[in-house]
Amino acid sequence: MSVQFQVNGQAVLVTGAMADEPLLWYLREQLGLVGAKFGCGQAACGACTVHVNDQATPACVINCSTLAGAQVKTIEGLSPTGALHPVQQAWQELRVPQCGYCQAGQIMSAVALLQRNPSPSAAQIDEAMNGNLCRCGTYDRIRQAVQRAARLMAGGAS
Amino acid sequence: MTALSPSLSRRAWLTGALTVSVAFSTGCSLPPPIPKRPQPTDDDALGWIGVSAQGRLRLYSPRMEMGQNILSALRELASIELGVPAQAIDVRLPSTQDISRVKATVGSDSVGELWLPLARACYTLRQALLDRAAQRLNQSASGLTLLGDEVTGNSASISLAELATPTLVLQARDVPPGQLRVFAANADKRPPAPMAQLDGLLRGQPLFTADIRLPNMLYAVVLRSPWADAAPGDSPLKSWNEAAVRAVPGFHAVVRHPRLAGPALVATRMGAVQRLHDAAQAQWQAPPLAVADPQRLIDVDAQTSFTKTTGLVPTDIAWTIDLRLDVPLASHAFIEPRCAVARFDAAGSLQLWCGSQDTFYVRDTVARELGLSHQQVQIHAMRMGGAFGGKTIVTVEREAALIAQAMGRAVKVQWSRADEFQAGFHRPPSSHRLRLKLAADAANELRISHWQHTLSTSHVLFTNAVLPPWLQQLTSVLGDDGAARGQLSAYDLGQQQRQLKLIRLPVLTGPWRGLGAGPNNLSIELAMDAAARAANQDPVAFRLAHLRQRSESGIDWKAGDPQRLARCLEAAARLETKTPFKPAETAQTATNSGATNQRFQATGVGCGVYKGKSYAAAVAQVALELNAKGQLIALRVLKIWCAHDCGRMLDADSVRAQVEGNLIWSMGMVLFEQLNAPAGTPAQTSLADYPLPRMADTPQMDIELIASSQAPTGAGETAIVAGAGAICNAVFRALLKAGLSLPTAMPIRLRAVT
Repeated sequence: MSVQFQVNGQAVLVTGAMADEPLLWYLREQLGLVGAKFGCGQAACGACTVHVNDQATPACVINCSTLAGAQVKTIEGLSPTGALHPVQQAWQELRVPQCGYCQAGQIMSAVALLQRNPSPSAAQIDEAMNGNLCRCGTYDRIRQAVQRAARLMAGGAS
Repeated sequence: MTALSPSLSRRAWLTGALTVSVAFSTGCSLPPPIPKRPQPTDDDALGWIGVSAQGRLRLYSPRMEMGQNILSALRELASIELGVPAQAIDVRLPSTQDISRVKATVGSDSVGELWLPLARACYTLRQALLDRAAQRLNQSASGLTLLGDEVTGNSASISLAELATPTLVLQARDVPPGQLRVFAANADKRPPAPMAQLDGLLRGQPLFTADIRLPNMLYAVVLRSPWADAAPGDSPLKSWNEAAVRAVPGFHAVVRHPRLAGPALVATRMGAVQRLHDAAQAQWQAPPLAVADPQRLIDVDAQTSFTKTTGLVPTDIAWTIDLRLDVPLASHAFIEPRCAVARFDAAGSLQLWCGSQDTFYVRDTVARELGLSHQQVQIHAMRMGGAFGGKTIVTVEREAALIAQAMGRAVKVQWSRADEFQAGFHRPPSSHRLRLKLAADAANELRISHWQHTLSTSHVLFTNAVLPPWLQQLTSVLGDDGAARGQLSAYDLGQQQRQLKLIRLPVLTGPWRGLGAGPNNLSIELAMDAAARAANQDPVAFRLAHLRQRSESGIDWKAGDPQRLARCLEAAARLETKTPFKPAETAQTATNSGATNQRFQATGVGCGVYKGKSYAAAVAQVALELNAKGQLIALRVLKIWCAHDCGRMLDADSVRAQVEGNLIWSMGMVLFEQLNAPAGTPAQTSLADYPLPRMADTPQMDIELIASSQAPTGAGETAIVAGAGAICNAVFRALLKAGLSLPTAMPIRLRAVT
């Protein structure tokens, strides 16, 4: 069996038993894209969040074999030119991370939210981000950072 | 010493898979190495700071990074003392061969213990660089300036790369603190320190153990009993389907070793590991003496003797307040399950990557178990994805080392979430009985005249996660300062008695954020609030009266300075008045309130001292919503105001972040977290089953960091001693207004005995 899809704009061909591998392990162990993290293996924490066709998706429970033709984006593909994405920039300004383990997943969920809703209310932010756990308790800064990123993406400097 | 003798079975060769059996020459009852706790010295510190051959200033952090942002704080200190921008200093987590032994990263004492030796080392390095530059440039050192990568004078400069050769030999100098720049620095007047590793975190760069990838690496999982026994073999493996395991694509080998909890299943790729585990369908014999519910075992009212009793109260007191509080078992639930990567080189030396709060303890333990010298084991410290006291012991690291040794290849062992719940250790449950008597003082004000706190719990420091059963028996009579932490209060409580009963439990227990200080202070703050209500006094004024009206001679300074705590409490109360809660449109305020629903709001107060030296006070506002039938349908924390005093701060924003985290943990402790173990082992094995605070639960927070010229103490575990009490008291007061008792959905149990 083989399956072809794109990761951060690059075509990949996954063959043999590897096609049955969860996307998370393929990204991390085969491609070396280690930004998405293993937290639970059950789509219960959000640490492994990536985009599949622009939708925030837990990479730990989706097999490569289901991704034929899909566009997968990881946090490594968020700033291809090197300049930080506005969401990363907001995270940097507000010094959001503590341990940082969950933050790639948080950022990918936030980017997906802002792509479909450029000006979310606080309630919509809470709802969209509620599946991403942060044990360090950085939620308040995440909430502020999403709002800040929305302003940056709208072209506002402050 | 362990002798390893790999032998390959004929079948293994035929199937292309490998089975390794291991001879074992010593018993499992050796006492584990004792974690060493050396205080950092000025000589040690000279090894932390230096100049690389490339001419970059290099700082090895003697404390591990787990989210407390210690890398940034220490780099900021070095930046101030060296007089260079923080970005000019490369700060790194060291391996065990880069620096001399340091103690574990525990107890929120890093800045307090490290600032002086590190500042002196930086002072010494700066002077040495200036002196050498003066020689080379033939100028007076007083006219030279150390910049990021060079020393410059009036007309010439010399690079640090040139100055680094030959190697600088530094001599420790007893520099008086008053001569140190950092002594005069004030965090309040500086912008936030640049955050170390932030760019890597935002871009997904490899910073954590599981991010390590080595050539030809294997992946392994150890089959283990759901009953976490101190000694392998107590819960024997009844059966497992080895044939099914071997049939899983990606299977590579089985490793059997008496020091492993069960067979190790080895795969050629990560995705096969869970499938190997599931295919094994392992069945375990339940240990006969380890199936009881820990919560029932520690029932405070069932205890007839105590491990430790301090003070005395008369037996015939008519108590004004008599409370019973039960706090359940709780998980660390760090989002990063523990992981280790091990590889032996051709000379038989072990390279091991792990996120541990005590890498030197990992080295000592692994070296001993594998019969290696310390020089043959190099532990590479990695950033931890949360630890909270839970990554202080040696578990996955020894598994990776043993399996890598048997396989002769690099091995990654990644614990599953179920491993974390069932084989990790937890905050012990605790059962409290609080009694106090109110009596009129000389001014005819009602004050606490007698106090008794009876605590029944399990061990924290003498943890069964490390000690073999025979050593548990020996240490059980010693008490446990970790379990008792926070039981001694800064309040004037009159004549008081503190009792502690420690009971060994079938589940593993050990350090959790704040150790016993969280639950113990929660129980004290609940009793103080009950006493204020009984005395018909304002809860803040009542507390202040028990802090302020103390004679110096009556103060037990081990509990902290009551005046500093009083100032914190006043600051938190002022903050609440100054910045009242204003509803924002969030998921937690935008409810579908029906017209007939009733809403009750209340505020609660809590305060406390952590380790007798860090202070916090909080006010929390909560809202309850009842439906038309009078049933509680929503309980939300709306806002928390918190004042925090940890002495001088190197990086105030990181202190603020720690306070924010502690307040979220306070919510978790009171409203969410409960690990159930009705059959002697955690019943929850998934984060989906273990409730934690989430984004939508997050209240507004207003935090005041109190400027102080006192010595730096710690912020990592302080605010939880205030936040939990404030939230719980607010909930209790709101429930009183609504005429309800504590809902059974809350993890804690509180009831008035009289």
